Amino acid sequence: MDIFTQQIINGLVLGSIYALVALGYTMVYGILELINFAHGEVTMIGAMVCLAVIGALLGQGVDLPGVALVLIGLAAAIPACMALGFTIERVAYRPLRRAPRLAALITAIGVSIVLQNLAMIVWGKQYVSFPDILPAARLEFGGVTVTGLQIVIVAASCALMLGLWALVQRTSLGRAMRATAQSPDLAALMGINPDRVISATFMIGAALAAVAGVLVSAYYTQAHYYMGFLLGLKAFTAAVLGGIGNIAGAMLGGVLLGVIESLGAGYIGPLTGGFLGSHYQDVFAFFVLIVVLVFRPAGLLGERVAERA
Amino acid sequence: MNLIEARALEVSYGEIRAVRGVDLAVGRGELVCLIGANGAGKTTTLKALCGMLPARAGVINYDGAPVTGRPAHELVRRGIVLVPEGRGIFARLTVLENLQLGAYARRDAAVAPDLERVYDLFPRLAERRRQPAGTLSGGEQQMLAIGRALMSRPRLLLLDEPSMGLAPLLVQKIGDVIRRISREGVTLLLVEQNARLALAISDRGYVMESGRVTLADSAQALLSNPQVQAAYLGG
Repeated sequence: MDIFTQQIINGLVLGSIYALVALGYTMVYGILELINFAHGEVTMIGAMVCLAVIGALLGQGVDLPGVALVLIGLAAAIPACMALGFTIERVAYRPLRRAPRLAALITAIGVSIVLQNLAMIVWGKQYVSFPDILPAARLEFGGVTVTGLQIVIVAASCALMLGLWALVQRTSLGRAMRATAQSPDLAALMGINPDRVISATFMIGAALAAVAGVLVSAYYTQAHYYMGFLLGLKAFTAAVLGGIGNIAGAMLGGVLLGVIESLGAGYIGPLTGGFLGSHYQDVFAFFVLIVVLVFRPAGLLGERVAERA
Repeated sequence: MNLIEARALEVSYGEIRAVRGVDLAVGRGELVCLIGANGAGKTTTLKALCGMLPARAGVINYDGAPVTGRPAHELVRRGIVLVPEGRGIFARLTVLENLQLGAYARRDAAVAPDLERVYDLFPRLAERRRQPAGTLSGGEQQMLAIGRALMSRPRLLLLDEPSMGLAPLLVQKIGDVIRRISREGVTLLLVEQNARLALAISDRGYVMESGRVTLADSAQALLSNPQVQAAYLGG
């Protein structure tokens, strides 16, 4: 029972990070029907920028509490990623707006490789470690441990998702986004400039990715130029699980995927008599992806099928 | 003075020349209709006037300035609004959200009185304001599309087949609404296959055939024109 509760908690933490990243995939897909495979790399850049800023501050001997340092790093990472998201759309995807979707998909993979290599040149091939500056608060009850960081990750993710929900459902920009997702031509007849809505969508997704990148690097206490690949794939899986193009679906899919992964990793050892260990954790995401694509390609909450994903 | 005029307008879909040198003008406050058979180029003409389709040749002047090649979203801000064929409502958004989108381009905050005006014009929309627009009947969707266009306070309203697929009673109602909008000072260009309805409410009319304007006259004269009667009014 303890393991079960512990794995559920770990899964919720991981899942809320997946959900933040999955939102970026699903919002872009909802409007452009494009899988922006470079989105995972935006998450990585967010983590790297934050760590670079924290490293520079520590190098200067700035004496601030760890939380303040991370917040400063985050304050740099968010606009950096928003600018990156804006630029990616403008440079790589906009010229291909009327091209076959396969061209845009290949371009997305290309952008992803370019960003990985740029990050490798700038920050090196080795792991960048997250400095040990955050307070190590932890709660223990009934054999279950919850760290302060875990609580912060879940709370911040929930707050951001609520904020996004309010933005999409309650504001003029959100209405314009939903209208553009339904038909860019019709949206233009309302005086909506579809290009601006698309830019805004990329920037919002990138801002969420920046936060996710910082949170995940703090959680695993490290960042790496290649970290966006796996994280991106899992978030994409989460988006497909929830129903790609569906915002609530991305949130649900992210959390579910995190929990499935965690439970899988926790029980695979005992269930296989120690033959397979918890390092098989990553297998579960792709198992879920295959099962969803075979049995319910529209996802849990989806209406439309991503037939060329 | 004309609010909008097109001169030698040509529009193509790839190799297909749908509009082949059209001249037309709508004066301020006028209600003008464009009638003709399916495929005559009426819808294409409207789409070119509102910036949805590029003109291959020719000039469009609006409010005394050329607007040829300007994108649709910019022309909406200048007062040209199209109610597209098949209504073009946002099915997953609620009725209220559709109406709010109509006012998207407006800078002024006085949207509430206009909303009341639209609800006054179409009480059914007020009853169904929280429903997804896709759940409305065809007639209600048409009312929503017109109401949404009014929310933007258009100077020139382009209506594409507003009576299509509606029951006779609703066709009457739409006709009344168009006349009322016209009386309130909005300039209208109406595309209709229901030539009888269109000519009954319009000041002037154009007849299009195979991408060209073949007749242009007062609505009254067109109604009594034997050619028009034979071709479009069922003898």
